[in-house]
Amino acid sequence: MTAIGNFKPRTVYVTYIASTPEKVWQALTSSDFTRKYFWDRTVEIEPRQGGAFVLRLPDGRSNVEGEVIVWELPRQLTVSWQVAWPEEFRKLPECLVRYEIDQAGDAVRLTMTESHSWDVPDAILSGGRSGWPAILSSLKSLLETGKPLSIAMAPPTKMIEAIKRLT
Amino acid sequence: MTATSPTGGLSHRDPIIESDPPRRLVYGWKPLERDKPDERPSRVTFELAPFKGQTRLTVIHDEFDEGSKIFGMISNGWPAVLSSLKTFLETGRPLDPSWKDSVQSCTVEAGA
Repeated sequence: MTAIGNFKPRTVYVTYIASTPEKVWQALTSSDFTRKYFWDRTVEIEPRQGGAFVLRLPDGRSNVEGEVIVWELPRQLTVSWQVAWPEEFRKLPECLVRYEIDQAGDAVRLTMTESHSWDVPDAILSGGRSGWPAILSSLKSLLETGKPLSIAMAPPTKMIEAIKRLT
Repeated sequence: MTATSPTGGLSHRDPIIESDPPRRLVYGWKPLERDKPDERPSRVTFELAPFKGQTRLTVIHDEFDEGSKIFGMISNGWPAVLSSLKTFLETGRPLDPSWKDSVQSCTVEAGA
């Protein structure tokens, strides 16, 4: 079990969505949704604390592997997040990704918090800081309009270089 | 740039620092309502980048006083305002404005 006390929030993204907490939860945990807004990835998640969590690429390889730390439907989902692909990204220590879902008037506030247990350089944080707004903007569009966004994106060059320098 | 509150009071009268439509807009930021802390003006930058019929909007709000209270307020405010802007542009309807009643204080760490 991951010792979550050692992890400090480094990136927070908040978005308000015209939807219900249950729908937002479903969008985070069901492949029917992730395939559309999370660059064709499917999600496998065992619905309990300590359960396995995998984000899978369309060709079946795992992209992210982790464990369910908090499963509190439909308020909070926290998973540990170990990048398994691209290969060289396996050097990154696991981080925590927490989704908090709160009712806010007729809308839902979704707060994504990415926390780290080490002194992560900004160059490495830049991956999440460019990726999460794209992913969560697309999730919002999908839930509100039925259509995701179409955003092509690769990890920032400075992130890839900083990972190469990790020992 | 002036902004008025729903009750008609002046809430902003800020200088435009840079305007390069439709790519970049920079203005000063000083809330004028009496219940807002009296701090030196900060600065807001909007950057717009087109991508396949979509737009990436980046908002940078900086130049705050040390220990600024307004920083905490805008950290709660921008996500709601920008979420509603996105909903309005994509569906023709803004979000329910009652988010204001449910905003909790949240901590935004350095760089976030």
